[in-house]
Amino acid sequence: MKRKRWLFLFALLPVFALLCGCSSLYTNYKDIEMLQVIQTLGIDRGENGGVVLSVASGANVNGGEPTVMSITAPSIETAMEKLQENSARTPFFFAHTQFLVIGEDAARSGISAYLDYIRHMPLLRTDVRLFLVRGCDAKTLVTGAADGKYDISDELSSLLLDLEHQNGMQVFSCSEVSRYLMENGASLACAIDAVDTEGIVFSGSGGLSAVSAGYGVLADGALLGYILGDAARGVDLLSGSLSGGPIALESESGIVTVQLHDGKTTLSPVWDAAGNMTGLRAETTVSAEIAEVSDPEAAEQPGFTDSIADLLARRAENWLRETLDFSSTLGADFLSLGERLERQNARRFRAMPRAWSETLPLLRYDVCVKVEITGGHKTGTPSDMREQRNGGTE
Amino acid sequence: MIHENEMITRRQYISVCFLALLSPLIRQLPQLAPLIAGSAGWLAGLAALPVLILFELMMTRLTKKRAEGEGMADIFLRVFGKPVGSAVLLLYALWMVAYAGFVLVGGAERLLTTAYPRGGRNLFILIMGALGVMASLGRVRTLARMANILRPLLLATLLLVIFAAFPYSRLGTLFPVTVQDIPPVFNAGVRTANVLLLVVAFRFLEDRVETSKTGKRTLPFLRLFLLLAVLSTLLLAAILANFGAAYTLRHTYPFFAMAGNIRLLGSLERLEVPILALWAFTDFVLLAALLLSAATIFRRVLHSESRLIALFCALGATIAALVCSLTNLDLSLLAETIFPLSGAICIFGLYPLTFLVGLIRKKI
Repeated sequence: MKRKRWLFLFALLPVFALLCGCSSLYTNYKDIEMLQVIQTLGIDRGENGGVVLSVASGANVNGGEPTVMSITAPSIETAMEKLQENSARTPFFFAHTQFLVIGEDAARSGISAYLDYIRHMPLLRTDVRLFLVRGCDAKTLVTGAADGKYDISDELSSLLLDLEHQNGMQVFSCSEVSRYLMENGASLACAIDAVDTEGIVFSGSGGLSAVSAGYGVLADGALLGYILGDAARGVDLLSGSLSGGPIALESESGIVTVQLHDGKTTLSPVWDAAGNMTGLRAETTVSAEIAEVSDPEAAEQPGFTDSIADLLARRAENWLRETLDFSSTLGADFLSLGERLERQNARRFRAMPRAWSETLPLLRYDVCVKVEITGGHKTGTPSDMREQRNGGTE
Repeated sequence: MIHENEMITRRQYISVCFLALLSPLIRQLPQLAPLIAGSAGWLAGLAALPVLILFELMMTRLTKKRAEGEGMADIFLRVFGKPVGSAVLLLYALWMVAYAGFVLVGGAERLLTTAYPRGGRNLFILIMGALGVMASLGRVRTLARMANILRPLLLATLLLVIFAAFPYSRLGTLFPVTVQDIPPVFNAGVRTANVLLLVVAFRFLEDRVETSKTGKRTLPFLRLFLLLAVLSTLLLAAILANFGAAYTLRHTYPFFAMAGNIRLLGSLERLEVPILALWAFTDFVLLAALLLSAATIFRRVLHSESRLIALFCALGATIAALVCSLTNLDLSLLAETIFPLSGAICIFGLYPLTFLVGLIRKKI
């Protein structure tokens, strides 16, 4: 028993050698208080197939300036290493990166390699939100959006809240984009514009700002084009994610602004005798309310609401047609129509003689939009009270 | 004859089996189910249930006439006779030691891939190997008690990750499941059963389990298989709904990639690393159970109660792991081909053969 006790104590001695703390064993140990948490990465194509990596840390809780840096290197990994070497005092911490911004040039060349890096690198989460910068490189936006207090990370956080909660636009993550590219061969990604904010009286950051442009369309990993502005609502209507946002309509009585509430689309395929899909019928319902009218008196006329509903229905129909035609023209199923139609009728879909990739460009679309105007804008004094007052003054 | 203070309860024994199976469940199932059955692969767990139930009924019949104090090794010797039975048992024990070595190197590889990309495997192998030595020299009762304490924690963690991941998922992509999906789902079910029936290796420790008042040995295992089938289904559904079949296959450890994306209470993120640390316990229980089972077989065949046998098993596994690591042996070949195939030979070949021979020779 005594011998066992001594053996046990002797075996315990090497354990004490391991109690000296992580910094003595691991050479990549970093003190948590010294870490600079990077929230945004920007990637552009560099010379000779390299990358230009830009990083931004977001607003500093201690009140100091945010960290914004950019570097050119042969690869993302070497660029991160170089950035670390250039900021020895505050090591960068990439584990909480939230946004990835890719410049247009890099996007048109192909983003598969960047998405693959995000996927396999344990430092980065795969649900990092992806933004494509239209007409600009990521470095310009990431470095240009910083003022003394805020940077692009704060811009994108605010933009994300606005897009998802106010407008129902989808901001896809890197894992979602990768997944759709693998499953459908095509995907959408949120597109942003780098806008010069000079001239705006008050803004959260100086210099450049990021505003939503719509969606970028990716096929086989490369950017093919954009669905811009209001037409992007066609995507949201088709996916059922539309949840809000104002639309200005030009009516006979002036500008009428409607606030969209939600919209959903039911797809019904049209089959021929051979079992091929020849067309698609999209039935959409949109609910909205009239938020603002430029001519209140005209708004009181009978049939006003119906005329606005017609206008909105025609506008929505254009959005849907534009989006569906774009998908057919490019032959890119970025709307995941194939997956959706397969889910509706798997037996018939899988039995199609013609493959879905060959069917999509040949589809004819029949779009029908029904708009319900609910609640709505109340005009000023009721007309009967106005008549009484006029009668009283006379 | 096992001493009374070496005996464990059936609940503790099932806890050891459950924890040990959580390791291959997380490592193998998320890759193998979508590879075979695509987006319908989430049903692999349920498809495995009939195979598991049939196997358990066979094992119940095989062990029905087991005498008091007789272990699974004794049954093999009784059925095949001493020379053949000893040879079969020795081979099986060597397979367990080799698999234990694979568990060591696989666990180290998982730690590096998921959390420490610039680390070295050998340090992790040595530390876990040292723990394996201590476990194999220790008592089964200690392992069983530890497993019983950890079981609710690991189960709660797994369920937390699964349900926290659902808001990020697209459940619609799990459907439709059509008649055309039945053959690949069944195939995935059989492969899943192959993974879960690793538990049969721990039947060699069953002579330490207290006999229940009703004498029923089948029901606890059936409950365990039902739980594992349900957990597998939920786990695969969560992973496939999050990533889709094609993208899941691009991940080395889809479970930890999914865990890394969840956000609790709007602020807790990057939970995959503490979850990874918890899963080291499952590797340890699997390693210890395999080594203890192998040691039990060696002791029975060699008629020796020496503790050196357990030490050699643990050292053998550690050396095998270090050799794999130092020679950069292709782990995917081990994980996807060699061990699944050899495991299937043991599970779907050796045990049914033992059952049939036992019936024919009227030894069971």
